[in-house]
Amino acid sequence: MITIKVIYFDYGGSHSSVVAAHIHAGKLESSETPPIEKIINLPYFDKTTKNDFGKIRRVGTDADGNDIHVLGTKNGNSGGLLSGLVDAQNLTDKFRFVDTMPYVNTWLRIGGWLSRGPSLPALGRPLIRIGILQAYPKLVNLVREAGKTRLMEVLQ
Amino acid sequence: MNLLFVARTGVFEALAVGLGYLDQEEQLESSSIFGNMESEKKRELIYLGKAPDGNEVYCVGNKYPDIVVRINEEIKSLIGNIESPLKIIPISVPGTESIYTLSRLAMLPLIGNYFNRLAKSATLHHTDELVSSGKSFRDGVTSKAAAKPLK
Repeated sequence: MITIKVIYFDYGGSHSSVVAAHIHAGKLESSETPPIEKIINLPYFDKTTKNDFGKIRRVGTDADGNDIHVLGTKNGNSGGLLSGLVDAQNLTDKFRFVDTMPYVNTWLRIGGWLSRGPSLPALGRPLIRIGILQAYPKLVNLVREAGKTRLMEVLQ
Repeated sequence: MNLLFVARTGVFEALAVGLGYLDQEEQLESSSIFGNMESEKKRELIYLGKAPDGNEVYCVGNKYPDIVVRINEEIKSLIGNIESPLKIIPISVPGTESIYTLSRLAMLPLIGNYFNRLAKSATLHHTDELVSSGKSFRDGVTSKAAAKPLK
């Protein structure tokens, strides 16, 4: 079976991308929003440091055997760059990059910055909780689209 | 091997260095890419051409060139053998820092064109340094010397 690397990315690789990757890897429910404590205790969730920018970190494997990863690019618009890097190396069929930035709402933006920027998680996490719960259903839909195989796309 | 020159601006600094590598620096001013803010905003790889040594040359702008290097290394590490690997050369030429600021201002509506002209002018003012860094890298590659990106 041919598998690919699915990489969820956003600015920090700490919140929306981590949640989406865990949904895709089957470690978070997709039918309903899980308890916030389960999200907060995820590996990498709101734990990344500046040294993690650019690091592709593995989260797990999906039902089709595809490896699921997260990435923080320190840039709000990296889709073209990432696609270009794999295209230029003839690796297009081996990777799928999924941008979670469009699902980063204001709560997540401010909370994420407070928590990871000036290291004020006590201030940032309450906002992150609100933001991630609001974004969760949208991230589930994103994962559904991202998880479709090429064959499914052709058949539709 | 393919090459990607990454500077804080793609359509100014990285373009000049890439054209220097290709020995096509005389095309900088007339290039449709030079100062093209639509291309800059997309942040996609810009193909510049094939060098006589067979290397395909690209350029791109990114505020953090070192992170682009790291992402590419991570991609490579996930795939064992790559037939046509991409080597990323982060560019930082002393004295060209203002080009980035001007390029950001060039994205503003209405007054952006004014700053775009200033950014172009600043790039042309530093053409020699930018082009020579591209040529230096090429000479380092072709002579198989230890090529070191400029800091």
